[in-house]
Amino acid sequence: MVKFKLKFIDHRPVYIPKLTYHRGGLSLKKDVEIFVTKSEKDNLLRMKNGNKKCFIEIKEMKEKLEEEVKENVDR
Amino acid sequence: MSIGDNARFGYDAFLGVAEETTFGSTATSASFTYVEFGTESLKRTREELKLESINTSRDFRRRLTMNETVEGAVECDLNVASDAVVYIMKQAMGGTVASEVETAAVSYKHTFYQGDMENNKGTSTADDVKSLTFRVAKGAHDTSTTNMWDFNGCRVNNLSIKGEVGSPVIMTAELVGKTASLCSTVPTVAFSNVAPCTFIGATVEVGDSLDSTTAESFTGFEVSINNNLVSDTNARVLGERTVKILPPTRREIGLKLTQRYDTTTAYQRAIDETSMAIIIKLDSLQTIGAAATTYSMHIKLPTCYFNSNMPEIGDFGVITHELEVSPISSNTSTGYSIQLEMFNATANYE
Repeated sequence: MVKFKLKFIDHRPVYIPKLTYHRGGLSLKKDVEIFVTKSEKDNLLRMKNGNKKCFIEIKEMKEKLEEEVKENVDR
Repeated sequence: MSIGDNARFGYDAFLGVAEETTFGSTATSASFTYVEFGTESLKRTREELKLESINTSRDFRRRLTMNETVEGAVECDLNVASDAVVYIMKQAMGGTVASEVETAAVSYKHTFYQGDMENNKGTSTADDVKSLTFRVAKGAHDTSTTNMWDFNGCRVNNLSIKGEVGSPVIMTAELVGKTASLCSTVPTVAFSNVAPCTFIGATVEVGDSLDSTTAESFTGFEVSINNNLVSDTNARVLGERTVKILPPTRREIGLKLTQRYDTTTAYQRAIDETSMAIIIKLDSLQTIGAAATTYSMHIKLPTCYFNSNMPEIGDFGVITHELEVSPISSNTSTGYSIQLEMFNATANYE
């Protein structure tokens, strides 16, 4: 599955119960980065607080992302 | 596999809320916010009519369907950090919301005014919010076969907020809607990370006016907003099986308080017909970011009358009494029967 990296930029903490690469759920605070699939990325990038987005995408080389997912992800 | 061989589970369900700016027009997928809930019972039903006409047989031979109805209730813990909970309360109030910054980019105060559910835009550039769409997945949300329903045109007929010793504060919204449709766009669900309000953060203050209230000791409260929505024939038109409008009529606020009986004050308030102001304060006791403000809300009832009440003796234990209170509006142009103040981290609810 294609991996993407998102950064949570909203000041309101949220809990996401299910993500492909974070099966146990995730508590997100500002500036936390997560790995997501394409459809999760599309969904999360639409999340807004008022007019402000809650997530931004962090663009990285595909190989580097693969490596980071292996190291950090709770499967 | 035959139909019925598999299973879906309640734990896998989710419920999202989004605002509609056109009554009965399903909100876009991107606008939903999700809430952890206790129970939901939203259903789309159609009345059945088996024709009684004589047909040379003992059997019915014609079955027609008539009015379509969307009704149900949603019960969840009261979490003022959850926008979905706030949207439901805002719709039940029906009016505008004024937001102000408490601490820049951290905490905000919102005042929810009562209104008519039609003309309630917060600023001239915003849209009126006419109703809500509820997106409900009844199990299995992360598979390709997820079935979700979008219940549109939903308005809150009755909202109740209840707190008692030993429990979280519970909000129940009885909803009436227009129609429902199946939806297959699977969203990524996110919840607020803040815990809901419990009885520990609940206080009830009573006084002559809202500016001079002091806390009294109670063991429970239940406040309700009944919007008396019209959803019968008068809300329908020829040519459509769904409701055309869902107008709110008389707004009736109810309040029940339970208390240990130790004085005749409540009795005297009832007999003297004393007008009292009551503020119910619900606090999650969690600060909003680094600000001193906590996620909390105040339910303001400026003109309340205690109804006749006296304790009853049923056993040898502690005597309690249940106080029925009638919050109404004062007879002034700026009077109101209920107003909500909320403190959270969302910038605005225009």
